[in-house]
Amino acid sequence: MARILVIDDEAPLRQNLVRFLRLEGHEVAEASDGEAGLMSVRHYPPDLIFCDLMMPRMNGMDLLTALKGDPALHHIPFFFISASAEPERLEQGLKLGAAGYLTKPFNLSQISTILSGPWGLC
Amino acid sequence: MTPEPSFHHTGVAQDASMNEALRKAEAREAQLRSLLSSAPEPVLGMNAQGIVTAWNCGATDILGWTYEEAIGQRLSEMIIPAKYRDAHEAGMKRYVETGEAKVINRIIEIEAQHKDGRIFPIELSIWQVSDDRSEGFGAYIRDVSERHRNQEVLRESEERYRSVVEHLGEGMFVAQGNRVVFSNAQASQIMRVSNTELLGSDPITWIHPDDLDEVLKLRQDLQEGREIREQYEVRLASSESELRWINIRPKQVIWGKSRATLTFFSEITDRKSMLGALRRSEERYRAVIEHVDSGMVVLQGDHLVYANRRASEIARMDSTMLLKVGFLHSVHPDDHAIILDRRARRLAGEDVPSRYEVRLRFEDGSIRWIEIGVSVVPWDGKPATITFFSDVTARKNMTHALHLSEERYRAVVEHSGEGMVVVHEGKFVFVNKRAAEMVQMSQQDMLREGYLHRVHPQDHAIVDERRRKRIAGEPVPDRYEIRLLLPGDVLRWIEIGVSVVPWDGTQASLTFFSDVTERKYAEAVLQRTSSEREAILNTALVGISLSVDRRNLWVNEKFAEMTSYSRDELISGDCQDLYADLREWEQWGKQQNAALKRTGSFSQERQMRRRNGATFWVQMSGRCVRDCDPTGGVIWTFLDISDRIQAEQNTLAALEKEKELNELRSRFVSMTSHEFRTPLATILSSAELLKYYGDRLPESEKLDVIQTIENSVHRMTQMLDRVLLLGKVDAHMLEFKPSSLDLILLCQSLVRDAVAQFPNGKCVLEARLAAELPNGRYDEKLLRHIFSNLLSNAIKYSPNGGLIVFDVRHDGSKTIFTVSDQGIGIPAEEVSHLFKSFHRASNVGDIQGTGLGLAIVKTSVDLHGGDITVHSSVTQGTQFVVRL
Repeated sequence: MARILVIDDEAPLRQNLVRFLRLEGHEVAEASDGEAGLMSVRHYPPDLIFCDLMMPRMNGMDLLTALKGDPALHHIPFFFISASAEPERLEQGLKLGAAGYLTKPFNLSQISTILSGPWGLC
Repeated sequence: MTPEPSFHHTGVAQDASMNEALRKAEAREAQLRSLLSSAPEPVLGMNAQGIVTAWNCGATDILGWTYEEAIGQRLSEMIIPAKYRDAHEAGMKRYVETGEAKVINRIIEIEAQHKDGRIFPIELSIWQVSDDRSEGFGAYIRDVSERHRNQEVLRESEERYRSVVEHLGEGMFVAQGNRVVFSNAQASQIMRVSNTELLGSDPITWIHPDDLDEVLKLRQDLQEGREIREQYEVRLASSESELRWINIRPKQVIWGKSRATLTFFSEITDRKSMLGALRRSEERYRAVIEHVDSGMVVLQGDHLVYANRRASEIARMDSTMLLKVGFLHSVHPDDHAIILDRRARRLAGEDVPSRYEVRLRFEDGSIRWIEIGVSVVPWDGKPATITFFSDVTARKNMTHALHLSEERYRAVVEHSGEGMVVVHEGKFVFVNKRAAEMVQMSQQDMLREGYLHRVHPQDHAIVDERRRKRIAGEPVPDRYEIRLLLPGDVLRWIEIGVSVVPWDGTQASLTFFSDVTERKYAEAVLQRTSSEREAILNTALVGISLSVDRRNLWVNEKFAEMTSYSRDELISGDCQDLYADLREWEQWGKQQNAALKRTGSFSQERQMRRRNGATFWVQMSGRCVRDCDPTGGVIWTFLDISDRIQAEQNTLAALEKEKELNELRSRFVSMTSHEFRTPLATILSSAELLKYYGDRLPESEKLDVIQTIENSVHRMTQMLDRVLLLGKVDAHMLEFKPSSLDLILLCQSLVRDAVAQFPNGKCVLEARLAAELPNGRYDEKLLRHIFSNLLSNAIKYSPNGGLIVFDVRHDGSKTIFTVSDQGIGIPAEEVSHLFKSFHRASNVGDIQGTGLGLAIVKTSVDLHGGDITVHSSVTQGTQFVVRL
């Protein structure tokens, strides 16, 4: 069981992810934008983060930059979930230190693969 | 033989021992008596009562009394003059009684009386014979008459000398060991100090510092016995400004038995200063004469007695040589006669010119001109001729040169291609050959008669007018043209130029004539050809102008047509009117001027302005008339290229439009991708949840998940509708189909729909519809697009509730629809992008949207021919005003 943070401004999708992760037995926190996400991470650092790219207030890229600049938080695996059709932005995210990304729409099994992957959270 | 004097009083006691003593005493007395009698000096003795007891022959010698006469006599009565006798007696008595003596054992000088009665000085010393005062005295006498006499003579002599010294006309002092030991009154007078100050001083301290060396040398020479001059002239040291001179004559003398320097001196300041003044005066004259620029020689008889420095220079001989060989030696042989003749006549008393010029000839063959001035003066008491002369070669040469130069000018003027006449004080004073030729007269006739009668009758007026004006001092053109009518009715054009020249110290007018007949004909021909050319240029299809200094001198018809000004206006007016503004006119002027100077031509496309302010494009090209010199005029051509420019601008606009469309497409793709992928992701995840976890989900949550699928599908459908609508707009397929419409009913329906769309909305929506709205022609579909979007936006972007007002009224010409909310507002910097497709404000947050609504609103308002404005402030709310 892991503690997972889901950040997405799209409430229905975020709720579906939360449902799925809880059903899979994880402890899940959620946030609707980058700022709220950053507060949550600082308040209670998760084991892994799923984060949308395009969000109001603080977008996913800025959040990732902030986390990577914080010695206490930079180690947390960070995955983008994005509807963006611009793969170059996602590549840029990888350069900034993201562990990987999922492109919307995605299968829930892809989430499971990540969670059972080299991060060995399960 | 002189009897032995008894020195002692007889009556001594007679006994045996006494006998012995007596014998001894007698023996001693005999010795003494013998001694006394043989002494050369007068010696005498007397007892206490003053009776003579001893007397030697010396005493006889000086006092006259013999031994026999003197012994037993009272001494005082015998040798003491009567006037001293009482004092003598008293003195004797006092001594005998009291022992008080004034004269004992001393040499005193007193007067004595000779037997013959004469009184003479003696030196007297008296001694007491034994301890017993009563035993008497011995006296020693010396006649000092001779000495007294000598002293007197000396004293008198000294007094005479002293008197001489004191009354000497000169100062005098004696110095010993360099100190003044004696000085006379005159010395103090000359030195201007008291005698006391002078005495004891070193004479050197009175000498002027500049003469110290000389005086010290003199002193040393004196001391070492070297020969010295008889006299020296030195200055006195003085605190006064006046410098005083003395003449000193020192010599070595014996003064009081030792060597001394006796110096006589007298003041010679007056003599010195007069000499100085004379010498200075002479020096001045000599300096003047020596340095005067003129040579000067003085001739007495046949001899040169004086020649100054300049004379030597001019004669090229040193002054000794000049005095020896004379001046005539240097005079050119041809001029000897004149000099000798003049001199002879002058000496003969004839009045001959005192100044004349002669030549000097030198050994190297060169010739110099000198001007000579002669006058007769006294010289050393005798008449002499004094001759001044100066070198005038340069002046002579200059005169010669001027003369040559004048001849040259005259030749030039005479043979000039232009006619020239000079009129001075109303008279023709000069006419050159060419002038006479032009009017076909002789130079003499022209000088006498002038040339007015050759002027064409029609031009008389011009000539008179010009002359009148010139005399009156009014300005006249300095060049003008008139016609001459020559014999045989030949017509010639001449150009006349007049200028004022100095003439014999006043002013005269100098007139030039040139024959311009040929030019006149040429001009006439040119005139004709240029008219023909102008006709050609005027029919050209491009505008043409000739401008100088940016002013048009000539323009063709086409240019006038292009600019819609008349040709006259273009020529007289400012070209500046053809430009947008003054600044542009000046800036462009600099630019084209620089280019024209550099390359001689200039070409540019630019916008010009017609008279009515409308602009048009021209391709204008300029070329200098003279090579690369725009000041000589520039020929411009103007080709109207407005059509081409318009076409270019259209193309540019089309390109811009295309670029915008590309951007729009790119925004559309990225937006739709996001907007479709997001609901798709929701749908997919919902489907998987239901598929794999359906049995583990509570029923209510299952329904929620199913609902998200439904909502996502609706969202996608709505967006597709909007995209299709915009596609219609872009394809111009959205039409304005107005119909008569009840606005109030429509608005009420719109409000109802909006409220129904947000069942969970926290807002209060208030419709303020005017009681009466004129029935207008509106497109209901478009109105629905407009207001459903504005009202749903108002609700959507007021997440915290608040009042939403939909106000509709008519202002007389238009209907004004206002939708205002108290929502999140729109950041000011984003308002301008508000109506662009897919644009969403940065502060929308979680609120869903496509960024298409306001684009549709704007398009619909535009189709309706209305306008829409926005007022908004973040967190305060937004107001949209639509006028239809």
